[in-house]
Amino acid sequence: MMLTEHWRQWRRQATRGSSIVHLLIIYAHALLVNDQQPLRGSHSKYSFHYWFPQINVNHLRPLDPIRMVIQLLWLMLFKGPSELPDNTVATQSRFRRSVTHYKNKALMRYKSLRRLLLPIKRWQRRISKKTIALSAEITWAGGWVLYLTLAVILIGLGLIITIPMATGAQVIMLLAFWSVAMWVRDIPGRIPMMLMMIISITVSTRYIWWRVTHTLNWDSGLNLTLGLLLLAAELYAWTILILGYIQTAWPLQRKVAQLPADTSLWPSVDVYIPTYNEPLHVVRNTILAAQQIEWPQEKLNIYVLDDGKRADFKAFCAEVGVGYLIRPNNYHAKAGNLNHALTQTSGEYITIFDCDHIPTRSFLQLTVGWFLRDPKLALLQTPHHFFSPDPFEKNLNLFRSRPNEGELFYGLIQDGNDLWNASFFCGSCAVLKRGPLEEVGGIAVETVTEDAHTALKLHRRGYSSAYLNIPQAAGLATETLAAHIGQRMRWARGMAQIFRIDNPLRGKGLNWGQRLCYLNAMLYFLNGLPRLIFLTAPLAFLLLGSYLVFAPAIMIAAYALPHIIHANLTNSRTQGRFRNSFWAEMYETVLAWYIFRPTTVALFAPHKGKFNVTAKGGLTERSFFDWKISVPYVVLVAMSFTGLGFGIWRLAYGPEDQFLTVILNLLWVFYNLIILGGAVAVAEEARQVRVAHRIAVQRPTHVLTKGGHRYHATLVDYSEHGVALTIKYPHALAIDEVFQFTLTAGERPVSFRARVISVRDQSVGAILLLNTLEEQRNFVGATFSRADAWLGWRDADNLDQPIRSLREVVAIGLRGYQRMAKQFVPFLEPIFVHFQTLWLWLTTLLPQRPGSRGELL
Amino acid sequence: MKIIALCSATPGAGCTTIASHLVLAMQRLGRHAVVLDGDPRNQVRLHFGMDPRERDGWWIKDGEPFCFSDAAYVAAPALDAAQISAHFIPFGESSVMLEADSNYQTMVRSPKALEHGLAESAFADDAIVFITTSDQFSLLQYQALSIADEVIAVATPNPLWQLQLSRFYQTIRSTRAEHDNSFRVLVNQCRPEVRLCNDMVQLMQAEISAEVMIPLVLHQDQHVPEALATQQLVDDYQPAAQFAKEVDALALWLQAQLMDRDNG
Repeated sequence: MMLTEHWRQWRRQATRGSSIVHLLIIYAHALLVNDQQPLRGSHSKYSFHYWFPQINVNHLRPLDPIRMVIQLLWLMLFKGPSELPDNTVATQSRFRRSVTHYKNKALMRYKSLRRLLLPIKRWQRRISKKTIALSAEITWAGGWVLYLTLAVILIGLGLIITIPMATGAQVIMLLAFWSVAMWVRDIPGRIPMMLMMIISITVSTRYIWWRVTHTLNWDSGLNLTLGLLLLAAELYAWTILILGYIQTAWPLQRKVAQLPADTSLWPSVDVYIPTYNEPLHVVRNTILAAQQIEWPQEKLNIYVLDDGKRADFKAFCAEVGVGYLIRPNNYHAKAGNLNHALTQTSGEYITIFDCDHIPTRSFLQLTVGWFLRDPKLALLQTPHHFFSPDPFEKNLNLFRSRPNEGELFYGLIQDGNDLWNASFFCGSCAVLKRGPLEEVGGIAVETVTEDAHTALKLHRRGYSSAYLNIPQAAGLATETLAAHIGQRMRWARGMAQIFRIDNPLRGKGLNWGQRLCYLNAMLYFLNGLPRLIFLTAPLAFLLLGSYLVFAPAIMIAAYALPHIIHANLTNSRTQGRFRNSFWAEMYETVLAWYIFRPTTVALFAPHKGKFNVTAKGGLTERSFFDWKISVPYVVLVAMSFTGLGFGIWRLAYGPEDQFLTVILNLLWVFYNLIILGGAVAVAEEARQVRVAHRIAVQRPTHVLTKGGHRYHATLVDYSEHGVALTIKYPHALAIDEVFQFTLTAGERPVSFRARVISVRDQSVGAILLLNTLEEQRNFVGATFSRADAWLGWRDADNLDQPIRSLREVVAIGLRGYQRMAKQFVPFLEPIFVHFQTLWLWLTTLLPQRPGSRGELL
Repeated sequence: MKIIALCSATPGAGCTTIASHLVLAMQRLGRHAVVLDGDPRNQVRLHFGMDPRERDGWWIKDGEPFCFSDAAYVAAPALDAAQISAHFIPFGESSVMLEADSNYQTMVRSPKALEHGLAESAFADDAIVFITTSDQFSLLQYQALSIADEVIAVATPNPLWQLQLSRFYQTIRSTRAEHDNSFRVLVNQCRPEVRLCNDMVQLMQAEISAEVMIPLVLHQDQHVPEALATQQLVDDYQPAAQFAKEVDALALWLQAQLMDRDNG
């Protein structure tokens, strides 16, 4: 009777077919599962839905059995044991036990391994304590024991790297490496991570060694030239890989150093807000927020350094009571502006905020403590946090859902640099000590990246730098892809300039860690040419028939694939939280063509070029496609398609012994096409109509209506002009009604007036009515400059999932092709729409992480 | 049984309203709670929908004096899904003068009359009894404050309160000698949009030590008088009202406070 009822219910909701399957599942469930837990509606950790998120039991689709098999295989073979909390094993049902049988075995293994790792963990903790206490100065145990161990390890590694092997032996050895890497992948801690790095370095170096010694084609000039070019690009990538490992091997994760309780011991600080052509509405919040930084008032002086020399800025500064500095010329752009201010003020410390970076009230209290603890400290940098989406996030509609482009640098690399005492100055949101800064002649003016060069000069003088990974200010990201590319071109050129003018490998005063960190930062920006080589290399074979890698395809696969897989696995482990797999390729591809030229020019003529200001706070009134920017990529796409065509032709009619080589190159081109499609897709500039960006929050507040009713409300977003609230009672506010709401600034409640402009269900949109300066200041104090304003925005569980990541990148690539089809071959667009549907459908077959919600782009 | 007395220096500060709402909020948290009206104005009942013409109450109950459980009422269940009802004990309306009543004479004779009455009423061991008090009946106020486990002094941020402060402190201190002078101050009818009110709150925070101030405030809300006019609790009248939310928070704080005390 229960069943007939169920049956009727399903028939009302679903088709006959899915109802029958549903019944079958219930039947299977009754056979296999003996507990009384209901199948439907249970979302516990051990429900069917948890392990098979892509399958909706109520609406079964034709291929769901296949999806189930794939997911089951994937769960058993690939999912790491860290997924499973260990204390719940006993409570599982028989059905689930069979699913998790292998996982439990893995878990036992994992636990015993953990026990083995305990002493290492203890040592690790001690070391990290030590490193923090010594502020980035590692003291390695010295003596002959160390050198002997190192020598043995190096000889061993040298053997592994250089010994020639037959294909079979090579495959077996690499499989062994791979299984070790897969084994330690999910074990938390730094030691397993380093093990993965070492394996990756070994495998990659072995690959490079093989490439250099075995694969060069000396037969013809053309082949040799092209082959050497590719080898150079690969050597570059290998160098960057290893330098990257060194840089991120042990992020310091510095904590806040406390200030003395006696505020008379706190030093005086000058806050500089340099501006040139940004509108006042962008700068005013920064000024108002800077005034609310909690610091003894007589020791805090704020100066607006206006290179635009504008009357409204001067009037505003006088009105709010901050210093206003201008200079007779505009030499050396921002650096010159700051240097001029240095001569006009006298604070012991200098804090610099780009004019759109709104500081929190706690900025100085969290940062200055380190200067008092470490007298050699000359620079402390905090992350640049952006509350508006960058062009990638905006155009691909990804804001806050994936780590953004800057995440890797501010989340990981700077923290890694900090260990080697090599944190860079990033131009804003940093504190500098006046003495050392004056000693190196102020902010460096020789290059267009004055910040990194200044830090380098400070390091050369023996001063140290620090990085505190707590966002204590937030600003606007670049608005358009063109602006973003412009900014990166400047960075790339500047870094190349420093590389020439003040090479970190040469000269006095730097330790090896610092040299390598600087070297990596500079080399990284030279990635334009290598990236272009990788994008075109397979075409050399497909179009010209030239063998760049002179070796049998099977050997290439046996050497190159492990190199790529290990590099990706290790990077997914070290930086996955800060940059998902495969995204780096897209970011770099977009920039490749554009930074190639300025870096090359700067390498040969380091003194050319001038500073360009990054435009911010603009609007994109309607969506448009920036074709000008994507021309290089469209050309590359066209070439790749030609290569693809030739390749397929070769596959069909070419000599049989080339078959595998063609396949390899086709795969390579295919991958390149995906990435290039992504690069094109980003050029579609999404509409941006808001002048002010809304910042999403969840903060309790209450509103007071005209009638004196007070309602509980939640502030869900705010900007400098408006707020959005949710109120449980939908009729609390009417359109155009003026109401008041209360927030807290520090410990003080502050009320603001606002006018309702939209009401939808429980959501209320309102524009702020801030009439006086006092009200504006209070509003900034209660929102943008709260000490916790930017904390917790990074999703702590944002683990990298390479499969998901690849899926997303492919989807973005397809979007690029759809866009191109629309532009060049409009009649083909329907085909691309079908392609995309097909792809989306194919992705539903892929396994999914248990407990996820079956997300797709 | 825990006794929590509410008092204030000025009339209309909101003791009765807060106690009436706290009872329901505590019930929702799973505590047995009852509000005992100790104010001859007999207003607690109005929050629970009792007919204003009804004169019944513990003060005029025949038979054993101070037998509170006999005089207790159960209010109609709340309108939300849980349908929890509040329990209250109205004061009652006497036809004779307060001082002429035999109960009054009993209280004068026996300073522990209230304590004995509460002890003999059949309240559960873990029950919370909120007693509202009034300046008008200082004898009862005195007895309530001296036996209460927790005293909440309700303050409104206006100059009048500030002027009464020292006298009020004296009253409380004189009754709380056995309890280390302990009491808490709760700010009610706060209006953050009014400058004077903000200044008064800051003044209070400066003058009263942080341990004494309850770390949340109740805001003035038009829903409160409106709910009273319809003889309902604010929770029923307008669940989205700020006052309802704040009383819930207060109840949670109180619960934590009592648990802290129980655990030493």
